[in-house]
Amino acid sequence: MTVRSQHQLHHLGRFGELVPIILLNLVYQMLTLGLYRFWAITNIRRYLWARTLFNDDPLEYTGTGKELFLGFLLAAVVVLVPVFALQYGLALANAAGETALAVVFGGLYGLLIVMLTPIALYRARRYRLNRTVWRGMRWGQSGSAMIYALLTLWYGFLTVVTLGLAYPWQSIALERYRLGHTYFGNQPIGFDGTGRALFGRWLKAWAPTVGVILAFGLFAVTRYGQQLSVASENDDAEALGLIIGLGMLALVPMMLVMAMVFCWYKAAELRYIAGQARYQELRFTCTVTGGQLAWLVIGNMLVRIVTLGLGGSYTLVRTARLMARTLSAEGAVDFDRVRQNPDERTRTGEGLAAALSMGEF
Amino acid sequence: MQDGFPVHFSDGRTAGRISALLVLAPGRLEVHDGTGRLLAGWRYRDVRLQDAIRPGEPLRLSSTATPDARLTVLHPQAIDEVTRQLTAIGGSGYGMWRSLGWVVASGLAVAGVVWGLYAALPLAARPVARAIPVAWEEQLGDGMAVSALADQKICKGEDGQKALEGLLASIVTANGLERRFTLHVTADKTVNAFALPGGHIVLLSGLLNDARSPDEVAGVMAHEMAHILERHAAERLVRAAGVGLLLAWVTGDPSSLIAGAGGTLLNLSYSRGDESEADARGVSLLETAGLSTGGLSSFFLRLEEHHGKDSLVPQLLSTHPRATDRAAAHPGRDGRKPMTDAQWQSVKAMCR
Repeated sequence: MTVRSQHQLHHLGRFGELVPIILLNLVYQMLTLGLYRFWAITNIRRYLWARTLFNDDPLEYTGTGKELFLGFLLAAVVVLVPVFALQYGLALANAAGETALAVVFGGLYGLLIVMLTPIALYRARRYRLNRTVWRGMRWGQSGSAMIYALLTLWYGFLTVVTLGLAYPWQSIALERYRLGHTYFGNQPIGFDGTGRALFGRWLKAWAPTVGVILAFGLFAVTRYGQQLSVASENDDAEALGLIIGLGMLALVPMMLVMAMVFCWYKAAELRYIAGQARYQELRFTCTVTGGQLAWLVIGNMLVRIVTLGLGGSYTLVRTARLMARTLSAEGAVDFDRVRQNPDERTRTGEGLAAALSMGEF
Repeated sequence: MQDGFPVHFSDGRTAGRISALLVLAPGRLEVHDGTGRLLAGWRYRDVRLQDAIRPGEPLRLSSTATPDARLTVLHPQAIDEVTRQLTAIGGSGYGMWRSLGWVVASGLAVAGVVWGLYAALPLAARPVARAIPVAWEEQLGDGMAVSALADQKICKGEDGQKALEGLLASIVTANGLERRFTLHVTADKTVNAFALPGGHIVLLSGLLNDARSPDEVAGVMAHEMAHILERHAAERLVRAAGVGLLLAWVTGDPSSLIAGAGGTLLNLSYSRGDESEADARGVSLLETAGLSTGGLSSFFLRLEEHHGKDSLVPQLLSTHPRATDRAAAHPGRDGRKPMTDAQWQSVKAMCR
């Protein structure tokens, strides 16, 4: 029996260790007209996983660039051909002035894209978990990508219809589906959160946000509406530009405040999700704050700007570091009871996501 | 009881981990538990690094014989010894440099495939274009004509329009053509004419003004009709679509596709091969209609004479074969006059 109730999570990623990998990836990608990107992603993941340690043993990423590449080719044939065909049909129908046909093509195209995105994300997650190993045991994901896509569609619809009020239900329902179908070895991760538990918090973020938007709109119309209509009547481009410019300027701090409020909510959501997850008797605690999340987002943006986008993978190190620093686990786990995940290794990797160029890492 | 180096060992059956002892035997490493029982014996050639080697950090190993088992070597001396053994065998490495040869080879292969597809595109475009139903091309062409002519001034001279349409109809009837043709004359000083998909022929007033005889106008008209009959515009569209597809494939970005297609839809220019083909077919259209065929070459010859050396080369010439070559290829044969003098005057006057 190796039951253990004290656990540590560390992320040891460092910018200096990442730089040679990034540079070599860059050289190889240039040599192969970009085709190396699948292997480049794999190299980055191997590093990120290897530097994430739970109880002093690292995660291992066992996926390969070849799997990603083959998955991409497969998805490109199966999915991109109809996508391209519909795009072309749409363009041609538009050029020929066939409105009815264009609407049909556009509708089909929209539905395809809306469904494809969550399907691709879910399948990509399955591949990544399937290729994540700790102490020789694989992680895994059950469930159906199609059901996940339908859930995404349904809750997305609810959120839109309720002007955003249903957002916590959307967020938690999808998390419940993801975490509730996640395995380490042969044993599941449990999760029993509800959107309702977060509604109060969300309301405190939602109400001021909506209020600010309404107030801004009202203020803009009453204060500048008159001038705006006069300026547009007189075709006074200068005055028109000035008023619109002022409006845009006011929009920037407003968006910033809204982003901060959202971070404040999102941190609470992450703490809640961690608190509702379990593995055997293991319970998780997350202490992340809105400020930490906001700084993570801002810092990651700065990293991208300063490195001209090349440092994208360093933002993942920063994210993993914050996660390791704020997440802790306590409770009895009998690792001797955790046997190999019975899932076969899926043969090709996250092709759909790669073909749609999303989920870079 | 043997001495050994401290290691952590997971046997690959569970996620449990035990502290054990590592013994470096000849050709293999052995893992013993505290009582001296053998837990694993890994031949060096089966051993794989599970992570990069980092100074001061444990060495993490697996074996191809039991791929799920993990061994973590903690003692610096043992790490050095195992690393030396693995380096001596070679091939158990963990790194990116190993793949350089493959990377270069696949880069060349990708370039080759893309080049091959690009080269094959013109060959494939012709049969594909000819397989597109004429009705589709006409619908597309109508849409393009509407947007191409939206901001153009259309010449309203009715007699002139009638004279040109009569000329067009005589060529169509004499040749027994079953395509629909629509003639547009726009007020534009450029000496040019073009054909859109779906039978739309656009003559610019600059060309009508510059022409010395109705034979020349008939020649240009027959040339544009030939473009339409040979499906050149459809072929260009198919080619543009193919290039967009190829581009999207290589970059992995579908949006480049739509941009590529949109950009070329209204910007069709024909290749020299297309032009020579249209010349030949145009001359034969005129011959069958019993019209003089010298107009096209005399028109181009004069244009080159006028504009040959200055920078204001008419657009029509820039993508076209050299006029002298064209004139030599189609020296011209006399025929009936395409229209009466009075009609010709009304054509000349139609944009005033």
